[in-house]
Amino acid sequence: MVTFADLRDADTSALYTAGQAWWRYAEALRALEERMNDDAAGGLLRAGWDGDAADTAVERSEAIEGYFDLRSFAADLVAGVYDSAYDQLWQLKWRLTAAIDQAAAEGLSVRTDGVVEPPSRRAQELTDEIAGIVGEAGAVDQQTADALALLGPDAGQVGTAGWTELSEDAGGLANLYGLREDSVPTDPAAAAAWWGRLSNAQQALYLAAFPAVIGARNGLPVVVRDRANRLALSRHGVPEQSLLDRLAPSLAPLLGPLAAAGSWMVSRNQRRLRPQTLLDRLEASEHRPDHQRLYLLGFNLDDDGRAVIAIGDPDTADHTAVYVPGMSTTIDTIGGDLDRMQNLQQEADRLTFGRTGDVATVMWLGYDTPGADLSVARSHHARAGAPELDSFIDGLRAARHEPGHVTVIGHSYGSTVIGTAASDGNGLAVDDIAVAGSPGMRVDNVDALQIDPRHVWAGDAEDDHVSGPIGWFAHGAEPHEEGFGANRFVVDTEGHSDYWKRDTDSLENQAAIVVGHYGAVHLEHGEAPS
Amino acid sequence: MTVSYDDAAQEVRHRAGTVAELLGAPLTDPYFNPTACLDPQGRPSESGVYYLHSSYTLPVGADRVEDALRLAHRHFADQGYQVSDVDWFRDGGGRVRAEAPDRYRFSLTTTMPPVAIALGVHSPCFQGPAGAG
Repeated sequence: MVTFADLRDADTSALYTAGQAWWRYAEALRALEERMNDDAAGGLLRAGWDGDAADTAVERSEAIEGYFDLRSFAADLVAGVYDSAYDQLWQLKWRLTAAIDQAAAEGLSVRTDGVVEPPSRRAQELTDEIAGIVGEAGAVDQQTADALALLGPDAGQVGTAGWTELSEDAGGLANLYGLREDSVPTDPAAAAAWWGRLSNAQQALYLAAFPAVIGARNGLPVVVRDRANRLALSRHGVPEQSLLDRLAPSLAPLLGPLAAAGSWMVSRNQRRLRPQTLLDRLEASEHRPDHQRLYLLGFNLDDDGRAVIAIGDPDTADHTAVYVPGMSTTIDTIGGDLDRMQNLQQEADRLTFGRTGDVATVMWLGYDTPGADLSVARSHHARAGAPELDSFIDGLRAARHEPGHVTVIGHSYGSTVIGTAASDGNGLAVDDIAVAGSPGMRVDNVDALQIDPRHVWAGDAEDDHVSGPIGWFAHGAEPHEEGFGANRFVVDTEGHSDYWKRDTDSLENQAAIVVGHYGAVHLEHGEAPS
Repeated sequence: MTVSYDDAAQEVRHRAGTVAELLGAPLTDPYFNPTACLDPQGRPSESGVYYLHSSYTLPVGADRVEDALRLAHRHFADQGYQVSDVDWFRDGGGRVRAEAPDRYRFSLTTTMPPVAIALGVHSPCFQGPAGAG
């Protein structure tokens, strides 16, 4: 219980110092994680060390990294508790001092139990005010004690159990401090402003308590969303492997005519491993240079799954390309799409002068893609995905301190999603729209896309069978045809899937668009911006 | 022919250095990546056949970009390289592509802003070391 004298004489700076010490501890743990990543595991991988011993050593390094990561989250929470206590008690102490000074100014005195003398109506008012302040301090003290007790001993558990424990601790703390996940704004600009107003302690607590919400919220900083999503993913863990899962790879080829059942078993196993597969992919990128690191900006493991992954940090890059993949893309097949965006980022970065890393690319599988069936000829998937894409791009803009150059690139049905989004409402907040292998954008011509036509680009390979009359029948005019009014860039690749192949005009033209090097884009027809 | 990644990298670095020396600019922002060559069916090789893709920036300065490209073009022609592309951009600068008789490929493109040249040097396809691929 806090008394008047306790609060009057309290040295609140001790709480501040404790909070700072825990922030430093959390930072030190993150630095250790980084060093383990760069110096140990990364060093071994870069040296090309191979074999069982190397695998074991890298696995061990990554386990230690995981421990540092988990503990840094826990240290953030402890730091937040001290910071929050300091903020509140400092203000209460200041209000108490002001009440004591007021009493003295009115010729009254305050006893050591907080009662103001001599008795009078005014003295009673001040006594009540002081009692109220001391009562609030008592509540803060109790809240802080409860919070620290909730965080429990530093058990040091790693693996899913450790992340689950952290999650429970953070959830309990959020409840104690009255933080709720529905207070996170859904509008990207409002979310960006809201995040900026939070204290470090509140940010750390929101992130640890509601990682899935923070990770998915457009408008929040990329590094925050990445950290939150990885935390959310770690909590998923990998479910126990059933006997069926273990037998699936061996049984599948033997099932012969029951191939569908075999592939169902394999895909069931693949789905079970999704969280770990995604985490492994992200962690592998940590051994690359900073500008090639992957940032997880959203995911959903249900059904076909969704994933939004940036290569490089869009918050700091001068140029960002958001790639919308086409039909039959699922979270289990994103490897090829990530390779495409890696090629595009590398080629675009090559065309810019200055620091390496001024281009980021995003693989945006933020919608449910149609399968290779009749659904691809319908607009349902595009209409559902369009507002999601619009919000994501608004979020990219809102999270940045300075405006950057943003290009949205659609492949196949991805271009249909883009056309739907650009022609709806006030359009897409992008500088350029590029599409390749488009079956149509669900608009008659470029004017409907609500952007200067010189900034709309389309490419199409001669033998791409996805674009063409079938697409026109289902999704409207083809954007690469002259009558559409967009610029058609030169494509020297074949088929529907090679538009992002290395060392091709197809890739180099798109890279030039992404960095605004319009004069370098080879055109079949149209007029590039000057 | 089996060539290790290290040996391939050393050779493309040497060739890039020759271009840099010719243009009087340092090689900056190096990037190397072994990339699978295509098999006869047009699919990425799964047997470890690769080419080395490399890129650099040559900061020649805004006033020398076009002269540097012309100089490189002349040099490639004098050396008997096959020059496949010479293109001058509307907004300044341009691009030159050439292939040496031993199939090393060169690509020089003006950067954005046009103050430097993005140089790409790519090796021919090699058989990678055992286990690669």
